[in-house]
Amino acid sequence: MTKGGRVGVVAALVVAAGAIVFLAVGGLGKNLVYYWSPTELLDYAKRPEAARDAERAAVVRLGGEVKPGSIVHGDGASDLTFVITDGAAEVKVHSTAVPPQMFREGIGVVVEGRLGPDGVFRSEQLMVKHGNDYRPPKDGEKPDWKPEDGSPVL
Amino acid sequence: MDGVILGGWEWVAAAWGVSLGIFVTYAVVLEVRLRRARGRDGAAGQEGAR
Amino acid sequence: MSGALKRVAWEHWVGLAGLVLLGIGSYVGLVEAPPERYMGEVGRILYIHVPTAWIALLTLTVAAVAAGMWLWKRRPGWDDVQVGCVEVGIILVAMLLVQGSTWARPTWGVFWTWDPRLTTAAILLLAFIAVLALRAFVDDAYRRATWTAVATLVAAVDVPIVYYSVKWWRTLHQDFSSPETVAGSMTLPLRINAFALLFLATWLVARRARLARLKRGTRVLEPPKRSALVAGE
Repeated sequence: MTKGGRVGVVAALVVAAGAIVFLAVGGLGKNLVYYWSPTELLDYAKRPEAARDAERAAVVRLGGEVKPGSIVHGDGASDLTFVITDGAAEVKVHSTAVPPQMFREGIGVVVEGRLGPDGVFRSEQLMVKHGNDYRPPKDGEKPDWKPEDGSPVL
Repeated sequence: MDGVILGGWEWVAAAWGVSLGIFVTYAVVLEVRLRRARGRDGAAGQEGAR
Repeated sequence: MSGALKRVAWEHWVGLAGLVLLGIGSYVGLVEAPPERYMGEVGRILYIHVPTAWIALLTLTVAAVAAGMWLWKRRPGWDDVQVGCVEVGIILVAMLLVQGSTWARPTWGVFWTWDPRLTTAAILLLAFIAVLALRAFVDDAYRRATWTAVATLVAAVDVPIVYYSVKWWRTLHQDFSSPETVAGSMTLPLRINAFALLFLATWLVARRARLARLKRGTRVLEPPKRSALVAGE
């Protein structure tokens, strides 16, 4: 084997082993949390490190259910205000991201942004979580279904 | 609707088309590699020789 | 070989069966099955995405089994199967990520996010690409098989992690689906396409293993002594 080959072998092994070590002990350990619930976010906001993170403008993810009846449209389709709830706590969210068609009341969402001093979570990234159930449309329903009470899906 | 990310058939076509395109490309490259290997190795390369 | 009835390699029949099944499964999924209630037509991507995921993880599991068998039995055929499964597994995971992104953009709103399922799947792809990179650097056939096997076993640790990521951690990606969570009219294309991809993957693995055997020729793999180097791939 050439010297260059040996270096390559070592490099490739390091990459493979590094990936696994990263998985085992790094960011993806039991502590990995993809998003915080409203309860967790509000708890965190009370702790001293929240102020430090705010100075660094740290972005966090907040996930939960869109509270029914809380969606308010501002200027344009992408200017949205709604409340995310986990049943126990609620956080008001102002989002400027273009929502996907699935966005509606009662659906799970994850938003990326920061909790402002006024208690409003400002987000520029809105993601809709799809559950694991898949159903055909009900009789007479169009596939792109809207709530029956006529509340805007948008 | 304005200002919404809409889904439709074009996404379905893209998912099917691009992913199966990757599959077909690999399959074609594999057959070319097999042909080349046979050309080099002569008798040993005959299909079903073993 | 030169008879009127030219012998066709067995794997081509498996591939043909896979192709026919994929045609039927895609027809059922794209035409017969209803659109999903909330996702609409985009939900049909899952008829190819979910079977691809199953078969990708299965292929990489078989790669790990072949790696273990090589280390145990030292029969060169296991190295052929191992490299076939690793290469085809990489192709399947690449297909999986493309399908997932195309589904995620209109459904979630983003092509990609670093949630645990997506992150571990990306690591899976990179880890097995690293296995192939390692393999390309080893000239001696016996050592190459052994190093590949060890690296494959290391990379395969990620396979169950990818599978259970949606159970272990909070993800944007949905949890496992089961017959209870999927309407009856939607399970048929999933099942047909799963068998289609199983056959198609088997076809490619067999072709790749045949290529490895051709390159090896009639030589027997032996542990390298002092100068028993054989030509590399």
